[in-house]
Amino acid sequence: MAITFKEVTYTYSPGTPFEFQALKNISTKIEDNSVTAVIGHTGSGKSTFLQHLNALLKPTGGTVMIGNTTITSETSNKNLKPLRKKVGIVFQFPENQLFAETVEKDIAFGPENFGSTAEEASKIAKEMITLVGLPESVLSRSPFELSGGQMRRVAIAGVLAMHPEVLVLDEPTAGLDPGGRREIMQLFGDLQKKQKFTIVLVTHQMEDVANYADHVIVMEHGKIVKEGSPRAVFANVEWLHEKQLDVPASTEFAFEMQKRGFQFTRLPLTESELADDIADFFKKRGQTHE
Amino acid sequence: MNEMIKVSHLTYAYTQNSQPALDDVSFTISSGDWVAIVGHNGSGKSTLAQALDGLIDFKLGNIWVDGTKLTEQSVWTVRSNIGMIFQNPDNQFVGATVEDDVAFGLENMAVPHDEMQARVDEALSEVHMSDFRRKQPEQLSGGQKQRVALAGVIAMQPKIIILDEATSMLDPVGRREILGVIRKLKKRLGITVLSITHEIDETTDADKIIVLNDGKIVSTGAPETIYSHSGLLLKLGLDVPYSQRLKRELTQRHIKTPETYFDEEGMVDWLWQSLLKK
Amino acid sequence: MNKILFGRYIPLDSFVHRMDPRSKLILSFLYVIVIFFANNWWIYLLMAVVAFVSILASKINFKLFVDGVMPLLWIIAFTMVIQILFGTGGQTYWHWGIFSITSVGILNAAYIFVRFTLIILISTLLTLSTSPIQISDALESLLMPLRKIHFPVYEVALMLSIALRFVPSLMDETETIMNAQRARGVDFGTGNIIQRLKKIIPILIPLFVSAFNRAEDLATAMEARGYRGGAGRTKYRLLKWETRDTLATLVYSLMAIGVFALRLL
Repeated sequence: MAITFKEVTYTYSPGTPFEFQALKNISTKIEDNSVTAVIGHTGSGKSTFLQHLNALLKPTGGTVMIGNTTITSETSNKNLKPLRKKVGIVFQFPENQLFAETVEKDIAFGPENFGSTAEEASKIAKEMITLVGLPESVLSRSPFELSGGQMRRVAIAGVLAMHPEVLVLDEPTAGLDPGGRREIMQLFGDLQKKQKFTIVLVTHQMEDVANYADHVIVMEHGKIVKEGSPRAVFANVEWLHEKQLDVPASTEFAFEMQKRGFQFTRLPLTESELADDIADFFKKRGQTHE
Repeated sequence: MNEMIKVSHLTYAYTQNSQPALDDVSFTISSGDWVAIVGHNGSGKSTLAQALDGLIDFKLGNIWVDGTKLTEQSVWTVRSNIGMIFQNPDNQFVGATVEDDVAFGLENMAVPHDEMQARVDEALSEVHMSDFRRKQPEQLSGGQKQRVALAGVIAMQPKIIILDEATSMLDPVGRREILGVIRKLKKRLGITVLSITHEIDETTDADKIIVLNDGKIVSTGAPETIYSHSGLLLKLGLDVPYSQRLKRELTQRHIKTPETYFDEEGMVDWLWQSLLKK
Repeated sequence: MNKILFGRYIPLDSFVHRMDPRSKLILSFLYVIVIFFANNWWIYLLMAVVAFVSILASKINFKLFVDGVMPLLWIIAFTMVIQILFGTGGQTYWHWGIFSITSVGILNAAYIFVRFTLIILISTLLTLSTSPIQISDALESLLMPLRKIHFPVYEVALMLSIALRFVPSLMDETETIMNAQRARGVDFGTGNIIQRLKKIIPILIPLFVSAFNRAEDLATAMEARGYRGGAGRTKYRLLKWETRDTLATLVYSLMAIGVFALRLL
């Protein structure tokens, strides 16, 4: 399912001394079955942008097209439920939303809200817990007995359980250790390959952007200041540095090599790309060692 | 150099039957050193930090801080020597405004008002937050809140700063800010720094790294030594410095790389030497 | 990104803002007591003038005061209707069973309207010009004599200030949790009372869990920073009684004297 933004603005507390414009004239398209990464600093408008993806917020101006549904400032709050089923959001620190007595009931909560019977929901819970890599025995336990990493998986399972067509991930790996981060990203990567999701990912981990995204949106002060493929966006290392944004470590490394006189036809994004490039340099010099 | 912290055979379990969170842990930290304790979430590193500050009641083993043995009687003396910064920026902000929060520890120490004012001013300028002194916590970013927490610690003039995953909830900018300030402080004031983290990139300034797993110390050494055991780090759910990762990729492509550890700059240098130097 | 600050405090630099919160608290209290002694229009006029001068001295946009009165308009209207229908005395214009409309009833209703409005204006002035923490400081200072009867004044004040400090955090948290549950298909605006109550559970439980976690973190952080109870601490924020406070007290005292003099009319 594609999502299109047309000249979207959003203002918090309009007409009060606390008025604040969080989105300014945003136009962009999130393609069906793509992985879009949204990057930018805290306060750049990313979270406000995300909440427009399933009409948790309605634009103050402009329109958002979610699939075939058009959302404007006039759209009534009724009839938004089918939309919410299609677009699942995994919020930052999603474990903070767990509430049920058992993991099973928590995962079943979404499906039941969308009309599944108790049996269907319980069946879905079983599927989902395996999908996020936890044993079925966890289902009967209280979510609050689990470790932080496990709680996060349960919360993610609770969103996946609604079988959304678009999955929105707001810093899904924040606060996890590197091992946990690798596993969670792997999970989403596999999922996307298997089921052809549309994924929107907000992250500060540029490695993840390089590895998983097809399209990158850079936000600053409520505006989209750049968008394109990861290769195109990360090609301009100096510009990103200026904005105090990170680039993937391999791109950064290659950028440093460039400064010392190495010549790249295009800056690498991942370790293996960079290693290939370096291997080429060695080959050209005829010094490949065994 | 004298011992600032000495831990000997420290063992602690949260409940009687559970696996110990700390299992026979012993190490020393010299005065003025920066020591990093790394381990995945749940490896026992935060428990260790809390033990050092007398925040948990351990029965087995001993801790000495600046020569004072940590006991029920000495705990307030020990605490006055240690400044701690915790993980969640919001949950350690006690005051209604930035300056109130910085003053909180001083109020507890019954510092007279005039001196308090001066120390708050100084601490705030040290972390570049003077312009924010009347701001309320909800007007600050996570990184700014952590800098305020740091100012609160500096104002109390401790000998040791413990960072208990102080950057793990921050974005990259906030992270760089706080580490930058700490680096500067350590240089200027010679404070002993103990940083507890799972980010390997944040250990490059350390004089010594202690690797913790399941409550046990599995490795101790200088960063270069620890980094060269990249297999171990990965197995423990940690990361490997970028230059080491690149080396692994190059080795797979049959390119011989030097045994010794290089940081990124060193690695670029080595590539330049081997490929471009005429 | 919720930019709304708790308590609707408007930080400005004015005569009223710079006043000692203790004097503001006492004078607001005095005002509310004195207004109950008002029994003729001259008194209301005097008190209205004092209220408007005070508001002018605060430099706060008058619209915000109107916003403060608006939500309470229904209560005022209701009280007025009761007063009109049940008030007796003077000329009777209309009469039906226990209800009657009389000239005294109408006059009393008019008094009530003015009285309520002035009370709301003056208490709004207090909350708009004084941050919650200043009010808590003032209370601590004014309650100090209670320490003689072993009332834990320091602890209560600290509790109050921490509670105030965490209100915005918990409000943010509530919003996030509500959004998360909304995204999982909860429709907060619909259903009968029981259904609606059920929908609160997925908000309340995470909120409690988070509040307990926060409390634990905060307690640890406070202990690590050397907090061992209220006694023996020094204070960073000092309250200082200045000339402007004396001046304001003088004005309000004159007003009170004037009110009692005008009662004799």
